[in-house]
Amino acid sequence: MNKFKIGPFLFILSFCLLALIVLNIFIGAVRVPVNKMFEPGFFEILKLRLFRALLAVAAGSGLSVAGIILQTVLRNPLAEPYVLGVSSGAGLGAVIGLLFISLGIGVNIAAFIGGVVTIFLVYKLAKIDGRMSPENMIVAGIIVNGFLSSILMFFVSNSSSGNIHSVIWWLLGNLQVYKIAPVLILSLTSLAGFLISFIFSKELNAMSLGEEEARHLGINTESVKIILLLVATFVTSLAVSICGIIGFTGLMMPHIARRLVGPDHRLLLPTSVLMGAIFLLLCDIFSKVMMAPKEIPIGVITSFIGVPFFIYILKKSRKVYFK
Amino acid sequence: MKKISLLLISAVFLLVIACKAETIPRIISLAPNATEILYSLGLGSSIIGVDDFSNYPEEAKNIERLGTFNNPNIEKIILLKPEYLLVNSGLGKAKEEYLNSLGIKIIKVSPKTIEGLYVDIRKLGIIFNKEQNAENIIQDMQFRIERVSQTRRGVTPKVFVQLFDDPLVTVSSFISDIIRLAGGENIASDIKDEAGIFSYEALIDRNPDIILVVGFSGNTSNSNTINAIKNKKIYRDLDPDLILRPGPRAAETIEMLNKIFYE
Amino acid sequence: MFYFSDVWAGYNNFEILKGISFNIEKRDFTGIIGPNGSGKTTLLRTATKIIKPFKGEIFLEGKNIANMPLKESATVMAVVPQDTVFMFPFRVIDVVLMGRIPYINRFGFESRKDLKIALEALEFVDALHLKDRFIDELSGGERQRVIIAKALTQKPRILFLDEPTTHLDINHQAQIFGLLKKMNRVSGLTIVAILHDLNLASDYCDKLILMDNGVIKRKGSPTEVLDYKIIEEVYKTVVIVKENPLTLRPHVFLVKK
Repeated sequence: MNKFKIGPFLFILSFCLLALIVLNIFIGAVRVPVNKMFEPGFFEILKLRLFRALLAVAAGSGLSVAGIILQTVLRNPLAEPYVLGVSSGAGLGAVIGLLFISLGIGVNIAAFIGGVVTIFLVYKLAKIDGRMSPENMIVAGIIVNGFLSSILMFFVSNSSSGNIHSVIWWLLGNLQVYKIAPVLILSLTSLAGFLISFIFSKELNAMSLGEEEARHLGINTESVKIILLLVATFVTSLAVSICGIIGFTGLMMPHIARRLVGPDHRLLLPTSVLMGAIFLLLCDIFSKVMMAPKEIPIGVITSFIGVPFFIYILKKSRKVYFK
Repeated sequence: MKKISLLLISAVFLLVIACKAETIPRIISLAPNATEILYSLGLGSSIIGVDDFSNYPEEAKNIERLGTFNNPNIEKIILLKPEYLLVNSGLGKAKEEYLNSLGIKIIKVSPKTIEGLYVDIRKLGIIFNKEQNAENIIQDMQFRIERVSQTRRGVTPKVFVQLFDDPLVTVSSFISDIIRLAGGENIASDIKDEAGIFSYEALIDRNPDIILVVGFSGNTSNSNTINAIKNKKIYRDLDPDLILRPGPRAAETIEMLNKIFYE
Repeated sequence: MFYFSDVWAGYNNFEILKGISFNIEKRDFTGIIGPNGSGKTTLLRTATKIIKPFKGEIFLEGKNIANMPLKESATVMAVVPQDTVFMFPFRVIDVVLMGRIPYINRFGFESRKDLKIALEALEFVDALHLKDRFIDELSGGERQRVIIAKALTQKPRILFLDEPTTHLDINHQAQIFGLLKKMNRVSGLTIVAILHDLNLASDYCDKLILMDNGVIKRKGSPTEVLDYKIIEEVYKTVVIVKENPLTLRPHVFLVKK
């Protein structure tokens, strides 16, 4: 797809996005009659649903950006925001926060710190010869991930029945918040992440040719890698600290977007961001509807829907680019 | 003149009564034990929503269901516009702060001992102007428990409560106090939580005389080194809703267990 | 135009290049030859700023390349690696346009001028008809031509190649070398290529640098370097050297045991 067809395509995606937001506002456990929309009780419910939908957009787009960055920088199509152990680190931070600090926002901050500390750990482990190779980072990430997960499971198995529920609920992902602040923070962060990545689009394109090839094109690969990995980590840690662990999105959206618009990051990034938001909004509808009035945690849905959808995309012809 | 003043006085009188009668609080109970306490205090008609597990007394089954006790449906709660929300283990800071911001007061009812239960019943009695009812309930329970302590005889049996067979799950906290007052000793009383996975070795080591299988009809161990197995003192099909709920039926539970321990 | 001055370089404090000095004149077509492990690739990496030398200096057009920012050196020298693995299928024209990255500023996009340069490069390598194809659909020879086109859009004054024809059939080999010759003779591009095949190197290069164990064994014209005694010493096998009747350059023949 060239730069000129992308415009209408993105416009269509944006329209779908808005439609899904509205749909999410009107779908839920309680039926809200449209003519009574503004009565205090119903309005409050719609307000909560709006927060939830907006958080889905912020998280979906942020995780997609992180996914693209990681797949390109680590030169691995299986990379996703959690491959470097960020999810376990943030998860562990959140659990420690839940169990010991138990302050409302303390949990989020602890999760965020957990994620960021983890990435530094992985970076230190993987650094060889003053330079960090993608293969080493992935291996270091797997090791750190395993280690932190086991600590996490230890806490889960040992916590009292009351706390276990909050911990597990958090581990499975949850998009409902009751204040606008976390939505704003995550939205701004995801937006910043997208903008920064977009500015580095040319570098990202070159880096997918290879480390040396990118250097031959004059790109300072070390600094670009560090900046972009930090961006990916920030966005992921923040998303995990607010929404818990929502898997698959960061892995799949880049691939789907690539099938549709090609690997040029200038097209890939905006497409992926919109698709990530659309995907989470769709999953949240399933989450609310499938076993109403009970809710299925969103992390479960993303895998449930994600896997068959992904297989379907893989099976279709390899390139479905619009010309 | 007299007629008019009489009219005025009766009008004021009626107004006062009307005001007092108006205060029927709107209460949601998200814990089965809290539901039982509310009914016993005579507040059954004030309950506008309950959790999925509130099933006693019978009338409670007709009240609107709101989900499980730590994951209730917030949207439904908002629509019901309660004044009070009774919870067991809490809903988490974010949800509680939010509900408070809507003007809903959250009360935790999670006693770990009989004394704690009395405190909670009294507290609810004060909040809802049913202090006398509360005192009556407490006194009745105290009387029955005192009677049990006077009639029990013999060596204190060691008791194990089995909630599930594989993994071996047992219960403690409130139930330990119940067992103690019924004249027994919960071998798992050093577990501080309400439920926990018990080591099989500890089961053999602590050698209970009586095993109570609660709820799920799980298998018990076959080991003949355990007294309870050897002497076939295994009691099944005990109603968990009765035994494990820290509520006004606790005295009934104590009486029942006392009979089992000393038959 | 480009010279190494007593360069020592390697990895992890392990020395591979031991005191390398040579000079490349403008419009030279130089071949770097030598057995595996002699340091050819390390030399290329050091020349193109992938690794920093422990000792010694490297000068390009009078400037020490160590003081040149990466972006600047990318407008002066370009590199064609042995083979490029493409993670994701880019279109040929997009790959070639990447060569213009050193010229586009941070927030910019390719201009019409950049596109023109890219198309001209594709035409030069006779791959213009491939411009909308996907890079992973091309044959080895076609792909290599596209990579060369990308290098050309960098408008380099010196082009480095790492065994550009090793994986190719002889017809493609001839094609690539013909191209290189064209770039050198017609466009005046200075070329330095690591070459595996001694005879091809002899036919096409003006100068040869023979490496062995991290040092330069001999450098000069093909006739000077491809002396049977030196070849036998470096490659440790018996050879005879005879003149190629077509090109009049020395060719090396293996003697069977």
